[in-house]
Formats: sequence, C-alpha cells, structure tokens
Amino acid sequence: MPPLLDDFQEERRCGGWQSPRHQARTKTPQASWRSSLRHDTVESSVKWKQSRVKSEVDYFAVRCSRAVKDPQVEHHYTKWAALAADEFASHVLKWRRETKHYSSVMSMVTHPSYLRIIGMGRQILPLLLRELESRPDHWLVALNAITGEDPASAECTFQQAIGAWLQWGRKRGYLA
Amino acid sequence: MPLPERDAELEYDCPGLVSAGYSIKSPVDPFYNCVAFAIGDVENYWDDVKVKGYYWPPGCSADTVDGWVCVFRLHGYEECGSESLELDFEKIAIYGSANNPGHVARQKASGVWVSKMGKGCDIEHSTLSAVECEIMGKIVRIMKRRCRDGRRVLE
Repeated sequence: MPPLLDDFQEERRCGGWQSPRHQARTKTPQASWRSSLRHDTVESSVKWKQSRVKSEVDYFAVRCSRAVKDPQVEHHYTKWAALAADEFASHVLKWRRETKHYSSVMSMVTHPSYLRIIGMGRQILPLLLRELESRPDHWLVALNAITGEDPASAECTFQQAIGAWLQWGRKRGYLA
Repeated sequence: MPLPERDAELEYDCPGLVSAGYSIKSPVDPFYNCVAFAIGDVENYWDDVKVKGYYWPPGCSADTVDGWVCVFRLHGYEECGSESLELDFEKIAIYGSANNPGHVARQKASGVWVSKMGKGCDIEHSTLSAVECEIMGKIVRIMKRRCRDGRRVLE
C-alpha cells in the first residue's frame, strides 16, 4: 500500500515512495529517486498503479502532480482530480437528499453514497472538510473511517465534535 | 428568516402529511434528532455511534424498538395503550418496522404532536398516522409519564 497523504512531508524528506516495479526498473536509491525521475518511469508507475483500485490511482495522481511538472502528465492528474471532485459532489447531494429524514446514524452511514465517499479515501479530505464546514452534517463517521482519528473530546456535543474536526483539518492543512 | 409553509422533500418522504396537514416549527437542524427532541435535549444527537459527538444512554440498544423503550423508561415513561390526550400525562409515540425503530413523536398539551424529522425540521401534526411512512415506519409503542409539576418537556 502506498503511504498516506498525511505522511507526504515525511515521505518527501526521506526520498519518496516507489512502486515495486519502479524500484526494480530504476534501481535508484530512495533518497535520490525524485531527481532521477524520467517521464517514461512516471508513465510505467502510473500504468502499474492503474491496475490497482481507483482510489489508489487517484492518490498517485495527486502525489505525482506535486512531484512532476510535465504538462501532459499533469493534465491527466488534473482530469482525475476533477472527476473525483465531481463524483464526490454528486454522492454528497444524493446522500443528503436521501437521508434527510433519517434519525439513525447507522442508516445514514450505510447509504451507498456515504460508503463510496469513504472509499474515495484521503484524497477527498479537503472536500469533505469543506462540506462539513459549509453544511454541517453527519460526516464524522466518514472522517473517522478515512483517517483513523477522532479529535473530539469524549463528552462533547455533535456541534462541538464538528468544531474539533474542522480545527483538526486546519491544523493539517486540509482547510484554509 | 421566516419558516417555509411546506417542505416538498418531507412530503415526498412522508406523503401522509400532505392530506393530514402539518406546520413547520423550526429550520432544518442536523444537531439533534427525534429522540433528543422527545426527551427535551436539543443540544445532543442521541444515537449509539462509536465516534465522539453522539450521546446514547448506556444499557439500552439504539437499534431496537425495545432499546428506545428502555431509554424512555429511564426518563419516567411507561407503556400505555392510548394516544388520546390525558392532561396530567405527556405522551410519546415510537414508530418503527418490526423491531427497528424509525421515529418518535411527542404530544403537546394541546393534543397535537410534534416531531423532529430526522436531520430536517421540527413539525406539528394533528395525527400520529400522518408521519407513518417507509422511513419512519408505523406506530409500534405509545408511552406516557406524569407531567412534572404540571409541566411538559420543552413547554
């Protein structure tokens, strides 16, 4: 599994994560792999990643779009990111409408759109936190599932828990 | 901001409200649900979720009608057979399908019922059956408790 976006800083400091195929092809020490990265190796890595689940591909897109300044490669990544944003927005809309009168959080979070949003992974954290900020709703389970964290205090209300998550997002740079 | 007279999405989800009539009493608010509203605690969202930010009393299940009955018992309610108004008692009605709870409504001193519709708005409705629908379920339990010092919750 690739490292998580939260680890990006650390990963960049250490030289970056490589797919096994990339490592086999380039034989480059991790610490200098970025400087020796060529377009064809990026493409091969992308192809390798495309055989994995979509969220991983999207992750790789986001990650490489920071590292590689090739306009053609970047164009593909931007397209992927836009598609992910569109998909996120349509699922949010559908979920909000179809669970508006649910009382049970269990029913809300087992809605297919909610599960899909969780499945989109860390890449949608900025979108999800922005959504939580502008239209507070029951996204805490998704945030907890995606990040494995729970920054709210034990006795807090739902509103306070949302505040804690927004603060968490700002601290980590997901929210402005 | 004035409240709307009707909510098309609500009417779509609970079609019985269209013919029975209802009035919207609050804006849409995701911070509390029908259980919290019936208990009188609009600061908390009452559900048993293993993520911080939710409240549910220990010892009762949030997933069964019996669990909801357990919660209202903790607050002094006992099961009864009639939904008709009794001046010295406040009543709640639990909705559900089989043993799955879906909603709870509370009776006001005037005899009308008030409901928090999921994450949506609070409404007043004159009959319990008006709220029966696929999402909420049908009325499965009626409970009552004696009014405290002659006063009802949130009134």
